Amino acid sequence: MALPSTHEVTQLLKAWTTGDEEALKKLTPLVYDQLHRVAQRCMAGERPGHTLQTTALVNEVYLQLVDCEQINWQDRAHFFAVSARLMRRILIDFARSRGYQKRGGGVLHLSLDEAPPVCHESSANLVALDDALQALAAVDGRKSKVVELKFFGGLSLEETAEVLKVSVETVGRDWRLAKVWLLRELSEAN
Amino acid sequence: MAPAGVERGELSVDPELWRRVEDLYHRALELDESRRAEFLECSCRDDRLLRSEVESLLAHEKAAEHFIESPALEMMGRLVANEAMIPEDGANLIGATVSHYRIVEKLAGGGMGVVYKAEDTSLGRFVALKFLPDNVAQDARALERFRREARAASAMNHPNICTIHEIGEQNGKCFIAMEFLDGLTLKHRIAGRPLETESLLSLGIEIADALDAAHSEGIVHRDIKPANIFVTKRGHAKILDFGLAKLAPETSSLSKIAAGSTRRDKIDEQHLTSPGSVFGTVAYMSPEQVRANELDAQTDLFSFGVVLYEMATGTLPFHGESTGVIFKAILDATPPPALRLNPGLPPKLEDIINRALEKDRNLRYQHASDIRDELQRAQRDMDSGKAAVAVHKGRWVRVPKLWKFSIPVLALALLVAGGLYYRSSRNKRLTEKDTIVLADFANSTGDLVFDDTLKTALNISLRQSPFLNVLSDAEVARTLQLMTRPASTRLTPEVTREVCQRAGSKAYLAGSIGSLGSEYVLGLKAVNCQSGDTLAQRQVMAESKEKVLDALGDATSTLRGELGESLTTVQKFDVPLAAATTSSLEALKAYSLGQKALNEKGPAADLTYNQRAIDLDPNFAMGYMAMGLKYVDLGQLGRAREYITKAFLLREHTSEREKLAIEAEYYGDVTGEMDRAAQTYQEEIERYPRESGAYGGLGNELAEQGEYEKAAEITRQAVRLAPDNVGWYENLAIYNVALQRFDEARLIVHEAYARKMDDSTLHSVLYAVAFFGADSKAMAEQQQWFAGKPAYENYGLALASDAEAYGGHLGKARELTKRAVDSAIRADNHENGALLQAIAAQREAAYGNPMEAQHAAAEALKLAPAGPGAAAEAALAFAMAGNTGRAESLAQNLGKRFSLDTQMQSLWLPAIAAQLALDKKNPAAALHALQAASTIELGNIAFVPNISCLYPIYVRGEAYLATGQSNAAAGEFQKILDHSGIVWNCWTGALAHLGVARANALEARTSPVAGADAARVRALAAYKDFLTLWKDADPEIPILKEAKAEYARLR
Repeated sequence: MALPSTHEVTQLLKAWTTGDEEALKKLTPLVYDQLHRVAQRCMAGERPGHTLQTTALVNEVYLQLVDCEQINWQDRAHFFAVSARLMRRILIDFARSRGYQKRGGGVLHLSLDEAPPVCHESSANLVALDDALQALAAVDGRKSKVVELKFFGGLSLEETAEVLKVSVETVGRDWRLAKVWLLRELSEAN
Repeated sequence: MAPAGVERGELSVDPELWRRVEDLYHRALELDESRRAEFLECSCRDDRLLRSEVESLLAHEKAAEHFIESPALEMMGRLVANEAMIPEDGANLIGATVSHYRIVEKLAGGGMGVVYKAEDTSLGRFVALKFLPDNVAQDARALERFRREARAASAMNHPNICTIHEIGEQNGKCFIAMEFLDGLTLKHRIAGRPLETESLLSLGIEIADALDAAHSEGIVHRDIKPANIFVTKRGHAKILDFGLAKLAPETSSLSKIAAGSTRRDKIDEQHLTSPGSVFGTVAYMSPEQVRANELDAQTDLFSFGVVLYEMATGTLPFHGESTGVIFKAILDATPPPALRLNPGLPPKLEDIINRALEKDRNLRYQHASDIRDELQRAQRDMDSGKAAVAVHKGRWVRVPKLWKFSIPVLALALLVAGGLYYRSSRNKRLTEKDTIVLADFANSTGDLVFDDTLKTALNISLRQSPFLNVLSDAEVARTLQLMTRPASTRLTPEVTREVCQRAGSKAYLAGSIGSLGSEYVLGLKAVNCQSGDTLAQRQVMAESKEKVLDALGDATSTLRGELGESLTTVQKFDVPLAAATTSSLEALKAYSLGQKALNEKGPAADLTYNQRAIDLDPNFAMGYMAMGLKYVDLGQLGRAREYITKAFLLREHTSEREKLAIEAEYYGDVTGEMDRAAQTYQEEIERYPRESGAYGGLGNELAEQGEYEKAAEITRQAVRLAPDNVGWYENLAIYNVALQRFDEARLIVHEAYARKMDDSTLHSVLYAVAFFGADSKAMAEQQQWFAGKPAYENYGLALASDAEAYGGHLGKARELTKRAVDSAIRADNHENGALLQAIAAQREAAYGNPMEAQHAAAEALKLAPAGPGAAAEAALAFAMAGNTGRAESLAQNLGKRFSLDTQMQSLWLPAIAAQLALDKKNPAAALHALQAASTIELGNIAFVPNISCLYPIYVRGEAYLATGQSNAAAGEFQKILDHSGIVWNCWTGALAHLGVARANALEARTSPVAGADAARVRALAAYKDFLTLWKDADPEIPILKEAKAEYARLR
């Protein structure tokens, strides 16, 4: 099965937002493919951060497939939001399927210091983070969206602001508080 | 929703509060850190919730700086990459599509590296997909050469060469799509056992034919080994990976590595991405390959010879523990004759193998076809032999099968066909003085059964070694405490290294387990915790979950040798893990959790886990032992005996070390054979001189014989070796109390306190010390400790009851005994309840209340008829109360049930017999009976609240009074007073004063005048002592009335 074409991606994303889980299955390889590229670079000793952080991930994954000229600003914001949600869903499913879940009372188990120091950097457990993010949504919906867009969607502050139709400064403040809140949540669960 | 979110439920429903939190948080951030507290003080006023919210968020501000700043995809990518680097090359590709191949599942390829089964979506067939290491994919020229050769080999379309469909590339990852084969590699087919000769010959012929075809096209394989030969379900050979070997730079660089080059890191990486492949290759190398000479087809023929040898014998012709040793063997050694290892082999086959393995390539077969022809001849001979067999009733056919059963099925080779290890240098080895620390296993299998379990297994396996010393869990916990981390901290390699450094240990051992298809890859690595150098490393594979313990045990044995232990002891003390523990991983897991609970939560926390462990595996000796020891700790000796007996009966299912420990405990606690127990502990000390339990156990046996000085000395050793085992401090303190070194005893208790340890006996000791100092305030303080602790309360109440009785407050004593008994029953400790009741019965008898005594003794026996302590005390009480019938039958029963028990035979039964003789007015017989007790009568009694009441001495005193030997009688009672450190507040200690008085009064009556006066003075003084002691005693106590009357008469 080949990766979906540009046109198909747009269609699949639309289908998924209307609840078509089959569409998710077809989109998953796209994210996996990207994931393995990151892993590949990492294994080759390259720090992926340089490329991936400067170019928003959404761009890397989708914008090369979707014809940007063809969609208007409104669609673009919607597209970002959907993509971030998709990314979150697929990555969390992936994490769960790989057993990176929290065990025994929410302890963060798979920390990278157990692994050989190939790409050494400690990493929070995505599954636990996802749970905490759901908790945050109940407290402050916008902040949880900011995290979803920025962290899962890989958007910049500016792009996030664009999607949420608030100022960049607000997003910055939201981001800062959300991070602290989540970290506190995770360390308490720990 | 996460539980934490629920906790802060008030925030989710109170947007106003949240708004204020947010506002204050950002405003506080703008301020200098030093001014924030003041700011919040002003802004929050009395709203403590608001303030604590903001403060707890601010507390995470610094840590949040880098938190989730990299996008999730990147983080996850790193995780995947890392996981791929631990043994599994396993970015999860299942379901992914590479080129036009959709990956279906991972195949258990064994030494083949990671191979996936994939569906070719364009042609609708299955293929095997193998990814090449990156370094290969990046070398364009090498890749091109590989393509050419692989294509050429494929193009021959030989039935015994695996067809390569495509060599492709996607996203910089190079892959090979090849013919999908159903079956297993020859490596797995051999699995440490010789093949049947028929299969050997037919596979050998096919391999030779394939090699011949390739060689005639000018294609050399260069890496012929069982892992590269597939055996299909129908029994045909398929050679894999033609042309691949030349690609890999390691083939030529290996000799450099062996010669000590610095490319070790490189090799590590290769091992990690493709477990076992390199090491596997080494053993099959030709001499010219080892010398890194130019290679031609001859090299394949030598390697093929090695494969034939392994097929014929199940073992490698050239093996060794390091690459260097193997290389040397390949160049110089003559392998053991195959026929000797497998007598069923046709001699012709041995000739073929020998010729293929000639060091001089000119003496070897020149062409693969030559070997093929010879093998065919051997096959033909065999077929005709088989025809003959029909006549000779199967002589030939049966022979080759013999080995099949003569070699243990658990053959480790099965698990370790390819292992990896290297040794940096010899001088980095450990010495007997070094300790090592075990890290928690990194378990990437997702199977929780391995959590904790493997570490316990590793620990048990290492404990067999008299050489290696593993830092105890208690020491680890204490070190963690110094690092201000909780005892439950996960011991990652990093944390373990710090623990190791702080505890002054030499190295730490980190283990990992990952899955590879249906197989498991286990890794062990010993690291010097100062330098960070790897001392030894081992990676093994287990075919299935059931084989994991064996694989781990095997890896451990090898590692022990690598760490410096002599081969002799490694071999001598090497019970396979499953045999030494349990073959049930679940049971071992329950046991591990029990040990963990014991360490983290303290005594009794492990009980249910251990129960579960033995439920899961009713033959799990160590599980029973753990249960037994737990009940010893809880003072429930009857139950303890049952479990220890069970462990003893199963003791062959343990390692040597555990076996000795079980035997010693069994002799000490179950049969009561003190000499035998002491001897076993002595043996344990000789074999495992660092085993604290052996010293502690020996000390205990000595104390039971009354040798408190020696006991204290040896127990000091136990304390030194296990400074975090509170039990040794308790014993040591007790022995010092027995020796009446009260200050020393107090110091020892405080030593234990200083290490943050606490346990009931420490409080018994402090209570006793306070009693001797007549410090009622301190006594009450210690009582406070016991109060309200269900398992221990009865001990405290028993001590208090004894103290009241000691002062003649019988009413209070009775009341306290009743509470103690009730409390023991509530704590499900009927045995102790019965015992306390029986002790009270004796007291009643001694104080002159025979009816109460008999009643109490009968109650005691109703509570726990099985407990030896209660039964012995009750028998003595019946005897003292004059119920000789009951006492005699109890004594008889005890004599039978505890026929080997030293204290029962030499202490209790003589005392009971003597009392019975006194009842029958036969004091001479009483004195005779008590002779047996003289050697151990001062010994520690395991089950009483004090150390011992010294009954045999008391009864002997009475007997001397009855025979009119006043001096001897005074001597016995004085002995009790002199050993107050043993007697504590037992009633014998009080009545010994009266005994001394009576003995002297007797002396005064029977001696000549001059002596009589002195005796009378002594008697008066002793009566006075007693009456002073009992000055506010309950006046109705018969013996008090008697004493008063006697005193009055004497005056």
